[in-house]
Amino acid sequence: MLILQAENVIKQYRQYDEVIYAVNRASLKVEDGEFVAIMGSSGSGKSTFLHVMAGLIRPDYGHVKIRGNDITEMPQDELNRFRGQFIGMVFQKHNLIPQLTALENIMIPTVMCNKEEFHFEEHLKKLITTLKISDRLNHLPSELSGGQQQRVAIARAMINRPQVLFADEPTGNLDRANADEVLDLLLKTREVIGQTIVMVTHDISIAEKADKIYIMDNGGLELYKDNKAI
Amino acid sequence: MEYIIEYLRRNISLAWKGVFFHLRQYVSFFIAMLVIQTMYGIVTFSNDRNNKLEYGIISEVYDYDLMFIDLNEQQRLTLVNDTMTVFGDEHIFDLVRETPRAEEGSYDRRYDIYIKFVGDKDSALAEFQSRYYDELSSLSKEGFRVSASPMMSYESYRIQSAFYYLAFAAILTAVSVYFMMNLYSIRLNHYSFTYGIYMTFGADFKKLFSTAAWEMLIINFITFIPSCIIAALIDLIIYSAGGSGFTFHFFGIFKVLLFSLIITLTSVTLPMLRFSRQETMRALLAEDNSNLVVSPRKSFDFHKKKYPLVYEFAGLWRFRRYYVKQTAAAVVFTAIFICGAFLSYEKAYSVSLDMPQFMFNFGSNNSYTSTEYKELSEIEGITGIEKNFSCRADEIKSHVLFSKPNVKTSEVIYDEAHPDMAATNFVLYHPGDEETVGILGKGSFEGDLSGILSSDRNIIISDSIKNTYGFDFNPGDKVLIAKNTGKIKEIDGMFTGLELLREQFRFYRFGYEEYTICAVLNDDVTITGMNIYMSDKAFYDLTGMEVSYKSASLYIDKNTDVETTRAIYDSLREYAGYYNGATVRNLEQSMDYKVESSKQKPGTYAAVASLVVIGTPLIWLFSQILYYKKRENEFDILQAFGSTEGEIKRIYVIDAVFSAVLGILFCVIMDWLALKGIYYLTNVVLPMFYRETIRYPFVIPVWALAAALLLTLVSAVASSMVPYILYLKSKEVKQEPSDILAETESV
Ligand SMILES: Nc1ncnc2c1ncn2[C@@H]1O[C@H](COP(=O)(O)OP(=O)(O)OP(=O)(O)O)[C@@H](O)[C@H]1O
Ligand SMILES: [Mg+2]
Repeated sequence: MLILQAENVIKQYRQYDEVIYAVNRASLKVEDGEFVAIMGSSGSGKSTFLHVMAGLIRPDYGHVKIRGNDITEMPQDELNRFRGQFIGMVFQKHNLIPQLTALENIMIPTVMCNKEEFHFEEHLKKLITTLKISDRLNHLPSELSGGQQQRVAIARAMINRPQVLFADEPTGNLDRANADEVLDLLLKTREVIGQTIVMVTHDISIAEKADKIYIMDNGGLELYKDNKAI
Repeated sequence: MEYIIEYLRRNISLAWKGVFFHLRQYVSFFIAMLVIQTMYGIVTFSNDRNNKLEYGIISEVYDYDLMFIDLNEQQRLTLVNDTMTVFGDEHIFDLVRETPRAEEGSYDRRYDIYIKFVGDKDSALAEFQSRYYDELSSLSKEGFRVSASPMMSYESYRIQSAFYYLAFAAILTAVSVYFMMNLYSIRLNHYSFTYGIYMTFGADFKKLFSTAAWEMLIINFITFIPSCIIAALIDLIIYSAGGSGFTFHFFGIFKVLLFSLIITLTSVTLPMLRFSRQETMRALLAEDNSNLVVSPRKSFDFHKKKYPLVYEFAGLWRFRRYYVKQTAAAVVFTAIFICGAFLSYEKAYSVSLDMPQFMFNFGSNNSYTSTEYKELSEIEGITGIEKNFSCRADEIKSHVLFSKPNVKTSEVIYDEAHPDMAATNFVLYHPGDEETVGILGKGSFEGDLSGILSSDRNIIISDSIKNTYGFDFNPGDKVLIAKNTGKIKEIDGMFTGLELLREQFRFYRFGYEEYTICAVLNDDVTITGMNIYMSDKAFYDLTGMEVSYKSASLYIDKNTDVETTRAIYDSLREYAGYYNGATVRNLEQSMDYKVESSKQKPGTYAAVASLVVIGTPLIWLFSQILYYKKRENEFDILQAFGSTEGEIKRIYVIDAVFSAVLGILFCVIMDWLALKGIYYLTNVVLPMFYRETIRYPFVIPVWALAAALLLTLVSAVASSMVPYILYLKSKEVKQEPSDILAETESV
């Protein structure tokens, strides 16, 4: 079953008379439970494309459908609710709220979106132990290392068990061992809840674990490798 | 039920924590709420007190419901005897007073009888009419005359005054919502990133709104009681200083609470609604002050120049829209303050004016002459007499032409036949003699009033039209007054005013006489148009009417008590008895004066205006503290690359100077416009809706303007220097450079 479908997405930034095509006619189809990696050089439009698919940016052209719902046409309010229900987001820049502690940051999705009949306590425990942040929960983001900040951001994205997880270089700040552990966690959760993962990464060894690898170049997206097919 | 309690408990405790963990952030909201509630308190408590007191004063003067005028003996007995008979339940009125006139037993013996109904006034009136009116009519061939006191319709009067309160409250609400909305928008603007993260993880408008609203409600409840106490104290001071008492009506605090809840919710809703409708990424991008930057491309190229000085200006330039917006938002409150000060002045002015207490009409066959002047002056308590007689220009197909430079009003038309002239027919012609000159002399004027006595070609003219300033005349200027000399065609009766005049220019013929202005009146107003006074002969020549004064306005001392006023009225009624058809109308101006002066409106307005102006420093400081908190990061980095503390200080100082200059500029412009606006509103716009009989002089409230300028200056400097002091303090605490960099992230 297709869970995510992006068609001919265009996003351009206009600055005075200059136009930058950050995303240029990118299309992507993702099956339920799939793990997709996007690679590409810096400035090729990966983050922008990810933001469009997560409904954080509205594209100038094209459509994004998640679970059959066209999120590009959705009113903003409904879109926010929808995102809370089904989408998780790990930003390239961790984007933690500086005034809130690590734990408070992690809990934001549970406060902002009430998922019925969902008890996150158990899940939280598992997350923080795997991510090795249980002893740093009551610190402000400014008191955490870059890698710890990134792991808190991952916990925040996963706390509500979103069906689709978008992750923008989630392992960028981590060393090899930690990066692998985080990836293991992601993959394990995927097995348990059937999560779909769309991940931007520069790390070829991580990308290799994905079902499909896409390459982004100058705003365009191309399938580079289909590990499942092999 | 349990669910609701649980819901309230959870939200209140969450909001309580939110407010108390970030108390510093919310200080501005506490102050703002305190100010707003206090304003409402002052207005509401004094309104409640005034209503009570007004009722007291009015019901002392109007201690009756109906007044029967000039009843004869039999008519009187019909009423008087009936009150003495006991009919049990059927007893519907009490006799309040009766004032007899002329000798006892004479045929001319007449009575004024005042009665008051028992129980419900409307049904008692109906019963009374059916019981007595036929009989009273049958007992005299002239029938009978009766007039109802305002007490009969006091309820509708009350509704009217409630309406005024609501109108005033609506204005206050608008100002308060603007105030709170500004604060809240500043907050949203600076915390945009936080709310953007909330949106990323599923917060919709409802969620964002409820987190915000609960916090605001908590603040609301905390400031509520202190505000009410402060408001009551301010009222107490205002009324005690004015020499009248203040009683507190407890019920008023619920009105204050209601209004402050409405304000809180509205002022959170609108900014939040706008915020939640934007693209999420846009909200997220404003982690720093970048959402306030106008255009990076247009900034100064400071790389090639000597670094320090230009850098500060580059900052000012990049954030220029922010500076202009927040300065305007802050300075607006001084403009509102000026309006309040001006209203306070106007109110004091209107209370200080003398108004006639009685209107004496001499009846169609009599008129006022020097004999009447003498006799009326001799009546105890009468302090001034103004005889009235005039003729409307349009009624005699006349009009006046002015030379264009004199004209400052739009109540005129221009006709091709008279280039360089403006014409109007909104004119009242008055005859004038020495007595008139004496009365006009009490007002404000320029020139020689007695000029109309020495020449029939001289006139006295008012420089206002329809109660507002309209002409710039100097003594010696000439005007042309038209007299109709014939017509080409009859004019349709549907035309009035200037339209009529336009038609008259087309189809009538006129002859013009030139008159010289010997004096200009500055405060002589009439809603009909403008007044022109001329000698009796000139008046006759122009209008064809014999001078015959039909009525006179009589003045008494404003502080005259109720009993004395009644005695004066009775003497006048007695005097009117000598003239067939003469009547006296009691205008009850001294009662109005007592009511108005006891309300202490000038003090209330001044107090509210002074509270509003707190918005200026508050908005400014709040906005600038948040703005600088985020720039501290930038300053730390600058220092890391070698700029000195002095250079950093200079950024703040230059900003302070710039803000002060911009603020003063805005203050002068906005306050001036506000002053002109409120003057125009109270002198031109509002008089269109009700009969205003006062032309307020345009006075610049110098002390208020000076205070506004000073406050703007101080706020501008403080809004840059206070953040600087906070910055220095935060650096004192942290020694390690890395600490400093870490801290700048947490605003
Ligand atoms: N808000 C914006 N305004 C203008 N241009 C933008 C904006 N955001 C991104 N861009 C431009 O769009 C292009 C794509 O940016 P994007 O962040 O998607 O790249 P990326 O592939 O994620 O790069 P990296 O690997 O370095 O993170 C870049 O040229 C960038 O400068
Ligand atoms: Mg990127």
